[in-house]
Amino acid sequence: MIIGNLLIITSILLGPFIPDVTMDQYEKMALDFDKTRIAIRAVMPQNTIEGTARCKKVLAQMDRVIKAVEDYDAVVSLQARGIIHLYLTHGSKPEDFQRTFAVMDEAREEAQNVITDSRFKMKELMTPGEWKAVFGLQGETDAQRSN
Amino acid sequence: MNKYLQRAAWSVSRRWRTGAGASRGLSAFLLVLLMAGCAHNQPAPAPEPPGLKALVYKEIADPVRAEKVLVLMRQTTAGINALKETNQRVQQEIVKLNADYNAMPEQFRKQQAYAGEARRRLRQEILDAYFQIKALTTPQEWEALSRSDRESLKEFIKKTEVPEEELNAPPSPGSQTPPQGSTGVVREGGMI
Repeated sequence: MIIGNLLIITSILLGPFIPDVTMDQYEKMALDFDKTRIAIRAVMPQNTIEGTARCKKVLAQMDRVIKAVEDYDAVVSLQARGIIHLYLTHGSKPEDFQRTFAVMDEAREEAQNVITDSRFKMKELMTPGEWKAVFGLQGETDAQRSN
Repeated sequence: MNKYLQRAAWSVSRRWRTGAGASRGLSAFLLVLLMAGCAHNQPAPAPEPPGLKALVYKEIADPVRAEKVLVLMRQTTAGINALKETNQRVQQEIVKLNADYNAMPEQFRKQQAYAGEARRRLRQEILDAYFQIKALTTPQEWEALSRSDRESLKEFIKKTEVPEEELNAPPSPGSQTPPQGSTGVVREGGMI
């Protein structure tokens, strides 16, 4: 459900942080959070209590990121109605647009901060090898996973 | 948001690809606003949508005014293209940064700040041109010029999965309030 709801607006905010999203997929709006979760579980050893706990912490950060995007999305979807109306109304004024943009900008900044913060928290929880396997650039990631 | 915005963007995006609608330069403007400065792979709008010139000259009898409107429409297209390119560039940079285990927070912030500044500047330029177009047109002319946008928006609103009562509902007191009058169109039923 989340994917269907977030696709267009949030691909910007979140897309760069989700592995295996090609430009073609961006156009198709394919951000697969479950696939990311699976990738995290696949590369993080969970055969010890410590490993399991670490993996859970990373996944919790992923959930935090998704929640931030959902919150942003909720704001934007509401504002979008206003923008469509303003756009089509001959008498609309610049300040009407600016008010809407201000709300959207603020929400975007909040979401960006959360995403960036979580990205670095995840990084602290993962080794460079694990990071590369999950979030590395397309070719690197594929090679790593096939090993 | 259910599918409301998604359908809007897709609808306009499809019209870009197919070339449907003479005023797709304006649709592009709408899409950019809806996308809120996003950086997904948007199809590039044509420098000048086919039929735009004919439409403008048909709807605006005064050729001097028509030419000014046309120039402004081209300006909005240029602004949209610039915004799209900036977004794509920033997105690619962030993809690379995220892949780098040792990337620093400042590097992300720098890219985000750059994108934010470009978004605000270009958005303002697009808006300025857009308002100049409206100032140069009568409500009737504007309606005629944006007719294809209206049709396209009507189309996706009909198909939207958002329940009618949700679309008609005024924002709750605690919610982020849309600009004045922004829900009026829905209440009036079919202005879009």
